[in-house]
Amino acid sequence: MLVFLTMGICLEAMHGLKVGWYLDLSNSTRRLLFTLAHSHGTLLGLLNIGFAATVSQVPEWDPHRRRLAGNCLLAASILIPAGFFLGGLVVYGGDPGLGIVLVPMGAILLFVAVLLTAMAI
Amino acid sequence: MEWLVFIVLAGFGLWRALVPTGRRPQWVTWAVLASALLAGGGAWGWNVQRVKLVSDEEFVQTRLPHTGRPGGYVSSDGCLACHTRRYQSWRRSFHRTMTQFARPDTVRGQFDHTVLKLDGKTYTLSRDGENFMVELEDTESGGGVSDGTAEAGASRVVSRVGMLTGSHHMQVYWIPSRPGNLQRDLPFTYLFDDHRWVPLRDTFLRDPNIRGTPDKWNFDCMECHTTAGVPGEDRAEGTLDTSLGEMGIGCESCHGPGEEHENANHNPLRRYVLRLSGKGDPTIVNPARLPPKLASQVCGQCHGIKYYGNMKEYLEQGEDFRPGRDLSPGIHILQPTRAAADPNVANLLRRQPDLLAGRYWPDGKERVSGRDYNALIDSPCYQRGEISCLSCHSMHESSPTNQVRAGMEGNQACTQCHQQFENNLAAHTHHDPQSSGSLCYNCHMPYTTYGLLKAIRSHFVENPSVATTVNTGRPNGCNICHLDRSLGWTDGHLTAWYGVKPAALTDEQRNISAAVLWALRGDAGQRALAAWYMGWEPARRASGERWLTPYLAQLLTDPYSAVRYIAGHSLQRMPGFQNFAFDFIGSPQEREGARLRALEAWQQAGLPDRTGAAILISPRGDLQDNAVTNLLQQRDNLSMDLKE
Repeated sequence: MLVFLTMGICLEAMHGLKVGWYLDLSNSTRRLLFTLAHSHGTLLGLLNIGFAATVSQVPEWDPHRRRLAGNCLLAASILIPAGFFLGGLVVYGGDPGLGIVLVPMGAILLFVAVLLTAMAI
Repeated sequence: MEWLVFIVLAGFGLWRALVPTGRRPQWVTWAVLASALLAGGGAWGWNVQRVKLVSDEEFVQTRLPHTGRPGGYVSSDGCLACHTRRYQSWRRSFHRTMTQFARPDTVRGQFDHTVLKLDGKTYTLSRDGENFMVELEDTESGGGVSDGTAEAGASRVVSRVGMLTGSHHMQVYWIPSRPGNLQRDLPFTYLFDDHRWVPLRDTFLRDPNIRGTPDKWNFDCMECHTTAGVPGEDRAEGTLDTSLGEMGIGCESCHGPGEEHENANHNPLRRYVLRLSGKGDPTIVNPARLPPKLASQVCGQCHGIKYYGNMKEYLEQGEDFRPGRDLSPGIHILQPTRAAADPNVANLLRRQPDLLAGRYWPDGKERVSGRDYNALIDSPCYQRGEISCLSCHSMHESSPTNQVRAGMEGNQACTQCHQQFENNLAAHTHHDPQSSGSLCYNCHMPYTTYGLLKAIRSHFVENPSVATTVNTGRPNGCNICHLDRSLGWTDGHLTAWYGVKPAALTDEQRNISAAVLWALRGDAGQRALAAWYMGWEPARRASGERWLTPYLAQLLTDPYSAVRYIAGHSLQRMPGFQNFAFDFIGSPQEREGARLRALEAWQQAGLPDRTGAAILISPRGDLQDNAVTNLLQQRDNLSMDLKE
């Protein structure tokens, strides 16, 4: 969370300094992707806290499955925001850079993590 | 839906109010009734807005040329999602705003409480909310503008202005007329720099004795001022249904219809493969990837003097040219220098021998603005296949003002090929490398084209030649800057510096300033150019400026409005004349009064910064009136109408 809160501060700074590389209309794709990276990273950080609280409330959760869910969530928490961020570093017109391929991978892992957690409760 | 919410809430509120409630709190009843009131108010407001929008849409669809022509045109908005940067640079361009619907954010003219008079007719301009209205005689616009706003038999009607042309220097307005969605011009132009309305005819370099006919946008302007316009004329039925790809000059004007490209690129895999491979997309035309000839023809479709091989077909179905294809056979470029080789042009000139008048210098080179393709294709660099329009211009990497590609504003435009001059410029130019005399454009693409009340660079790349000036009247790059020098002086330098064969000159050409000769005895086009040169900063630096005042004063009384306009503006750049009041469309007496005032101010200012026989000013600073009068009497009064 600290990383992505810091990123939020950087984004705000770019607003304050009117950095064209981030704010110009022609860079709207980059701006969108960085905003998504920041918001997903922060929200996934909160989700990790929620996951930790859930683990403590469900002692009967199969350790193997719990570890799998935890790892999936952790990987998704890295892949999704990293995918948005890397996709925004280099953009092709309205298309993100190739880093964006990390996002669907992270999304699948997040889906698995949430599914395993839901099944355990 | 909003009305349903209103009825349900109001019914519930009334039920709460009328039926005994017992323990129910009264505030709930009032809250429900207030909500019903809000819903009802919202529904009413929305309905009013909807009716207005429907009315506006009906006006656009029935009275104005409408979008939606067939042929796979999707408009520039379809490009935004993927080509954001390109879209943004296009949005900034004056191409986009060449023709627009008349709205508060597009109209620059002053419409509030404005009454304009012309040839005994009165035009009353006004605003009606967001609409711009003109009250005029119904017959003035073909009897087709009333559209129900006039009483039967009324001679004056109020019409809504539907469209406008221009967003850079001036704006012209169009009034819906008949048949169909024909648009006729309001005979006035709004000049941005001058913040005033003037008669449209006075913004052209046109003999005042020529009475032009009203312009019809669908036939005279649309082909180049919109994207892929189709006049839609059916002469047999007498109908007109003009449609277009997009209002203004959009992406598809240069890249061709975008529907196939848009559909193909819904597939992200395809987009990434194309991006990463660096290859062009075969579903769309990129002029930058075309050979020089085809790339230039993309611009030449509009920036050339052209005619259609089959006019009837064009009027019914529009142009069949698409970017990436050769202009012919559908479009023929009217190039006098190639008339002998082009049987189509030769035939056309046989049928209309005066077709070239007002468009070209006598040697067939471009004389009017916006027709630069005609000049380019005669240039040796182009003929060798070395350059195209895109060598120096860019739609996207440029300033909107002249669209010169970033980095090509200076000599780089030429030295990208002619590298031998790059490190030894002064040896070639014989001028200080930092001066305007060492700018390639100034000598090889001088301001010899006229348009939009100013001089514009020729796009015929040539060497300065006194012989050409003598034979054609077209000014050369030397004398448009050295205004105080004669053709003889220039001829001597060109001979000494470049070994040019001396030209045959008359005594006057040898001894009197070329600019003075153009200003006093030239034709109207030359006088307009001379007036502009006299206000051109590099020329005034090279030639002095105060001595120019009596010649500009003389041009304030020129028979041609455009010449007077340019002379007035050049005069206002002179020291002490910044606030000189002059109305270029004032009465002849007012113009003569302005000339005398300017001369008096000049004489009171003391000795001019240049004197000499070449500029007809004695060492004591007196204008040689007899010589000036003599040259004025030789003025070329050939009737001119430069067709921009």
